[in-house]
Amino acid sequence: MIYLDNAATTLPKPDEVVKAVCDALNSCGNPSRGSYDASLNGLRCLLRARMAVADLFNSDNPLNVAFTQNATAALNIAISSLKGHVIITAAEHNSVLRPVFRRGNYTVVSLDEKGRLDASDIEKAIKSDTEAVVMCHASNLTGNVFDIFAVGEICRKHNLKFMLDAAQTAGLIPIDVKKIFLSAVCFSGHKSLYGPQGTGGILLQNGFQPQPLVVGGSGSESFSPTHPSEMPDALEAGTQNAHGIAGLLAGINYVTSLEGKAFSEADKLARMFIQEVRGLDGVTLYGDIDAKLRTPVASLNIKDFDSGDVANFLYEHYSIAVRAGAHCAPLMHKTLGTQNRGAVRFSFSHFNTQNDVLTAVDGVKEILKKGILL
Amino acid sequence: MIEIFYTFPNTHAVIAGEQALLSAKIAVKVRPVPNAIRAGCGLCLAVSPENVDKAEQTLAEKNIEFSEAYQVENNTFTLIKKK
Repeated sequence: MIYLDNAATTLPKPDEVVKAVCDALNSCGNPSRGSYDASLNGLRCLLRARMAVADLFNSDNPLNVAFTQNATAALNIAISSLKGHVIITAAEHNSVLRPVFRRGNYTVVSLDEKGRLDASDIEKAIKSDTEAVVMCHASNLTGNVFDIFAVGEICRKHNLKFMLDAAQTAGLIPIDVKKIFLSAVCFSGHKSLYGPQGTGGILLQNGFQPQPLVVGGSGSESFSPTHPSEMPDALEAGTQNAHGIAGLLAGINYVTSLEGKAFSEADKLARMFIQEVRGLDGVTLYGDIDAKLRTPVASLNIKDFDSGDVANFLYEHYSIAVRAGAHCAPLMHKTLGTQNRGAVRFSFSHFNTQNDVLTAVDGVKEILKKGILL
Repeated sequence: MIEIFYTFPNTHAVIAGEQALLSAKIAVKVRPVPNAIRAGCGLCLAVSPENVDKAEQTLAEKNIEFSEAYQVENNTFTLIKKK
């Protein structure tokens, strides 16, 4: 299989991650619950992982990192704490849209025809009761990266909270909370941090303290009828996924040890793919494909073929794994005019090779030449 | 033997404290909080009296706040510091 669905989850995982999870399975007791080594090893593992996350985002306080099941859970925590008006963009994934739609009182800021955001439109959407901006760092569909520094400065100026969905960028593109005004960074562990699925988290900044969605055992204040308010216990009720987080820690260490190569090599492959297919008659690429900073993603359609049929053809004939259809980003599909057919997304990691790219290009060319017969 | 027990608001702070002290080469042991001490969580750090100053300086440098410090001798717990 040629795996080109790394924006969904990275595959393969580094050997270090596999080993860390396997080792943790038989060495980590329940973290927070005992004073014997196995339990303390679990707790120490969680602390090391918090420190690694804090370092990744240049935060000084690892205890402001809480682990969650995924970025969606982190975003739900952040969003459900908000009481006032919320500003989002049309680029958002359903992990932001649905929690925001459920609570109401929001404004969606539109994008241009290539899915680009004019940050000043965020400022124009501010109302008297606006409490926060919630937005993604990069579109999971186009790969375009948004100017979160500019949005952060708008939030700082207007005393708004700024919740960042970093699912597509954490591990790929640096996020420095000392330079960018942020209230919460919500991240996925299993994408470009190379951890196992079932890992993610939230880093709190600038005094933001969301209410927990889930309360219960915390390993502290056992006789209190209410859940502890101190981080990270406040957002981590119940036994933590220490085994998975051990893998996440190994993944973060792995990607940071590459010193930017995880991004630069994947970026090179994505741009090579784009360069090879952009001139082909019948191929429509979406987003600002010439942007200097992009995630290694390329979404396209071929003539009027169904995107699912294209993905199926590529897998059956070339063993290429890509994602087709809608990408949980309905407003972005409407912006790009792909709401009826979706798009085929090719997403690369540094584990891919130039041969993978060339094979994918061959697949696209064969569809253009011969069509798809069902 | 006299020991100093430090309590913390939660177990994460206990382990953060343990790691900070070990990094500073200060002998420390994580142990359950005795019933005689009311603490936020079930774990505390035990340090020798001669290491107290260095331990508290290290915790302060790392922004790790302990809740209380007890001197422990012959099953007697004397509160000596409270944050």
